[in-house]
Amino acid sequence: MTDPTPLYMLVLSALLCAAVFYHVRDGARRRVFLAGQRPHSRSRYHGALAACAAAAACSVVYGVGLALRPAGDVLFDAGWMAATGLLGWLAGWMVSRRSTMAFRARPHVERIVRIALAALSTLAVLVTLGIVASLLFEALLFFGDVSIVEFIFGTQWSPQTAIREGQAGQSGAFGAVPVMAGTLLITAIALLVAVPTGLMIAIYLSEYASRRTRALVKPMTEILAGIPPVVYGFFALLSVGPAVRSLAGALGANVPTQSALAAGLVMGIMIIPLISSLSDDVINAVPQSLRDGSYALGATRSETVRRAVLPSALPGIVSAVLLAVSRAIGETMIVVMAAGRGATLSANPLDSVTTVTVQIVALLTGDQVFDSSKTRAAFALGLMLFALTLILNVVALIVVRRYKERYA
Amino acid sequence: MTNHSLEREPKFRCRSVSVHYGSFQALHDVDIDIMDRGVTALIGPSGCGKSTLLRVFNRMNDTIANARVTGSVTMDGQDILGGDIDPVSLRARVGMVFQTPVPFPKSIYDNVAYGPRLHGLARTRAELDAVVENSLRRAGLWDEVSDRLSMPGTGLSGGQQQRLVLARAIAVDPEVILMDEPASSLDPIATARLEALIEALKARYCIIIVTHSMAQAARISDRTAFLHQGRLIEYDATERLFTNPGDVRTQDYITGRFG
Ligand SMILES: Nc1ncnc2c1ncn2[C@@H]1O[C@H](COP(=O)(O)OP(=O)(O)O)[C@@H](O)[C@H]1O
Ligand SMILES: [Mg+2]
Repeated sequence: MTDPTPLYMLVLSALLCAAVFYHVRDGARRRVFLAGQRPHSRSRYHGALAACAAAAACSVVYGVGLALRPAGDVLFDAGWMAATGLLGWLAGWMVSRRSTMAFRARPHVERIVRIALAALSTLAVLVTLGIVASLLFEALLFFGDVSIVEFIFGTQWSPQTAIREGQAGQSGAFGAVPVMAGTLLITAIALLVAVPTGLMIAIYLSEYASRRTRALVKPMTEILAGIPPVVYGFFALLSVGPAVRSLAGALGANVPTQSALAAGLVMGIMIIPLISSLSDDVINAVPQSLRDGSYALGATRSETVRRAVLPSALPGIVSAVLLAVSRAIGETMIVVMAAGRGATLSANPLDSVTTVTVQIVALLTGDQVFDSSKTRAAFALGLMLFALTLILNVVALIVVRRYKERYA
Repeated sequence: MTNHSLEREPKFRCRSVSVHYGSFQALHDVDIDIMDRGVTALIGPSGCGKSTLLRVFNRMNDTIANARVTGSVTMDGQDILGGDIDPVSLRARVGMVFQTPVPFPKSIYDNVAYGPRLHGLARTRAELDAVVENSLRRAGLWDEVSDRLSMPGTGLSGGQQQRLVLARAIAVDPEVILMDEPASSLDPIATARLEALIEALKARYCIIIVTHSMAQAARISDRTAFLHQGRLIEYDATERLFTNPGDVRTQDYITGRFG
């Protein structure tokens, strides 16, 4: 059982700060009321500053206590709580002592807010850097076992056999090309489905549909976005896969139930609302005056959409598609269920393929030593995926910015 | 007294034109003849229906969901309100310039070439080049942009943008140019340029201009129509309307007593 005292301490500190805030604020209010003049800072700033001071004191007590604390000592814990209450209240009281009409609490509070916000942003950056660093670190370890050239250009992927004792041909087993190709193939199929469909839905909704239709259809497509991927997964496995198989069978081809096509189709359906909803928003944001200008030149509605509205909405549409691409690349569940796991290098969408995400899952689940080339390969794959989406994002950002610079 | 007879055959003839937006009637039985090759100004307090009337001539009211136009409007004797005229091809003959210029997010060249490309007015690149150059020249913009045709149209100054959209309209080779307060977002110098341009263009086109500036109407138009609360109050030669208005409301408006 874990020891709940540190958690109680946090709750205690938070309650204390809140109490200090209300106490000091109301005290300041009373003084303002009695003095009948305008203070430099509103009462709530006095309270907020006192609460900040209390919070600072509490954090110090918390940190010190946590460091010194012997396990399971009830007396120590009681002292710890008393110290928090006492010092926190003292800190608040020191601020409230200065609470007069002339007290400049507001600038202090503003500065504290700014510092706190900056600290949180820094935290986000640090977490990102930390994740990238750990990816890089493990990947580098992996590249100590398997050469990076082999990994990036190798066309054999069979990590399971490679770790078996006495396996000679280890070098050929960690080639990421088939895995990468699988990801790209499925993503391409998904985009082929989702981009035209999503865009046409967006165009219909924003340019052709009546307000009532739009109010009905748009939420429906957004519900499509709320369906969990695993549900799409069994839809792919149980409906689309067999359908693709029997369709191909009717045409004389023998196709497995699990295929890149089935997974790609379903993934495409999953990202349609992402594209249609965002594109609809940006198309709607195109000013009516631009359309009027086109109509006034004798353009029809579809000509206006194609030649004036879409070019002007392009940056937004590109970002929408990009978001969809990232989503498709990172999608795991559908692929696990519908595309199979065979790491065959194939451009045939009717083959069973595997993707980077599926392989990462396969490498890290099951019983194994978490220190083999096999598990490290997962980090290398993760790094590769990260690099891919990063490059895509950067390229799109540059394209969009250049376009906006020119025309907006 | 409203005088709507002209010496020449009119370009447009409107009879009992009314426009409703839903249940609100914005124009009441307007009868007006618009002459060809000249400038007709529409003036009146804001909300009186000037833009609504202007949009009757190129059927732009069709693009407004709840707008309904009734009455009869002919252009060169041919009915343009009826079902057998295609508003899209009408708009190729009747160009329009709006209050704020909104260039397409394309290059200057492509902005001007937009209409010709739509209507297949140029078969070769050289022909299209010629159309673009010609239109920009007529809009008085060629000298300023000839060396940067591939730059975006949105990068031009406000006055240049207004002349760009004028060139865009001219490029379709229209017979009529409608202008809805084209100078309201321009500084005095750009306005003067635009007025000089209108002066030059009126020999070729039928121009109808909405303006809130009476001085401007007096400077550039041949005939002026005064609208008030959706009704055509007075329509006459500009000089006569401004010096000797026939209606007390016109008198009040042009002397600045309301509006
Ligand atoms: N799309 C519209 N829907 C409803 N009412 C409108 C619409 N456009 C204009 N109106 C109304 O019609 C009247 C005339 O408008 P408008 O022709 O724009 O006037 P003006 O151009 O003279 O200022 C105004 O009362 C305006 O509120
Ligand atoms: Mg108007």
